[in-house]
Amino acid sequence: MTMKKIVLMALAACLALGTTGVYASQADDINALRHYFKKKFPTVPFKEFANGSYALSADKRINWESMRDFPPFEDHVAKGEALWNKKFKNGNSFATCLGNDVTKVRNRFPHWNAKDKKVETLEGNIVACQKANGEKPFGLKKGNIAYLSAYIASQANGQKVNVVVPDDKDAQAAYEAGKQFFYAKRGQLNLSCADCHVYSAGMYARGNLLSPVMGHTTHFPVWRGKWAKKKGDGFGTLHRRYGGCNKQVRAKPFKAQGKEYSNMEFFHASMSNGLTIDAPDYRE
Amino acid sequence: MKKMTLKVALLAAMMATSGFAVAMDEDSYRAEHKAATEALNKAKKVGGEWRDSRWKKSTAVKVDGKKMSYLHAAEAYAAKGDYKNAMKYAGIAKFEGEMGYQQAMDQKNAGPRH
Ligand code: HEC
Repeated sequence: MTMKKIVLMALAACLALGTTGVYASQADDINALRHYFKKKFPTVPFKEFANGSYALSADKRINWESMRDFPPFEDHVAKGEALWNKKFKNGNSFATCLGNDVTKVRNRFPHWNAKDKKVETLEGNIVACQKANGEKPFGLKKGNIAYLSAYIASQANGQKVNVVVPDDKDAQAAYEAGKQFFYAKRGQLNLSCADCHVYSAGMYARGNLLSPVMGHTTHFPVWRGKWAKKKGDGFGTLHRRYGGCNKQVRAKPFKAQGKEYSNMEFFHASMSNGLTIDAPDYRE
Repeated sequence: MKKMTLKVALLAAMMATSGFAVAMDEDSYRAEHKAATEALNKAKKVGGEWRDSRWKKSTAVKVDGKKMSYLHAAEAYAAKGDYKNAMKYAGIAKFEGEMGYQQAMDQKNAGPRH
């Protein structure tokens, strides 16, 4: 094969995936999972994976669709919009940090910050913006951060996830660390994220239908019935969910917006590349 | 009189040994607590800590109606002078620290197997 042919084939592969990522390992990971899930769920169309377990069970889907008819989170999104429009004491606002066009915010995250050598997430940058402007930062898992994140995400609905891992050794190392985190068994139950959300996707664990990892991040924050029974109002961020899933296997959860979860988000969100943002959403 | 001395002597001996036993229990508990903390710190360094070893939100053990982690339970029992239970829970915390560290080491190169 000539070099030109190889380059063309690689390009074609990238186009087929709909990714503009330049990191081959990321493209390979996405491709491998797509093939894996296509074989596992041959009747489920690709775009349906954004709907998690509701793409896999007609029964559960009926319940979910009726929840979406009268979503319990409309007020939350409205509160988020008010937060977006509110001026800080110094006259700035979230738009000062995140950009004036709110439709172009959600889909830039997570991304690699080459200067600070770290993965940036939407929620991490919301809080960083507050700190930079002398505002009291939100909590990281529920409440205001989830409202604002939901409003911002809702303004990107219809766009396709496209997490880019740049041609940068440190960025690639962060991606690989996130991938290792996802595949590493942990906790007293000795289970990895992949054990439940790859190998056991479509099966039941204590009454819960396990969703495939592909499509996991398209719809966050979520309103969860289970969270609504606890303190708070049912709404939570992606890192709140990470903590919950770590606790389930009896591992100590890591800090929301810490390095471990941010690196994992870099990998985890990549696995939803090509799927459509549709946020926020209801989950059991 | 003779009988009396014997009784006193016996009592004194009992008190001494029981006091001695408590001191021993306390010493071994302290050693176990230290070993547990070290094992858990080692696990923490590699991201391998488990939920119920010493996390402040753990609800693994109930002591006097309050739910807590194994290490906190050990401390609660020790504070009451119950070194038997204190030893037991410090031992569990230590074991979990060792296992969590081992697990993280085993999973260092974890990746897909599909
Ligand atoms: C013991 C099995 C188990 C493990 C291990 C596990 N989860 Fe989950 N996870 C669940 C269950 C059950 C749910 C709720 C049903 C569903 O949507 O899959 C869930 C839901 C989720 C969701 C929400 C999905 C959606 O559609 O909104 C995300 C995201 C998630 N898990 C991520 C993770 C990550 C990341 C890890 C590893 C840190 C992990 N999970 C480990 C069982 C598990």
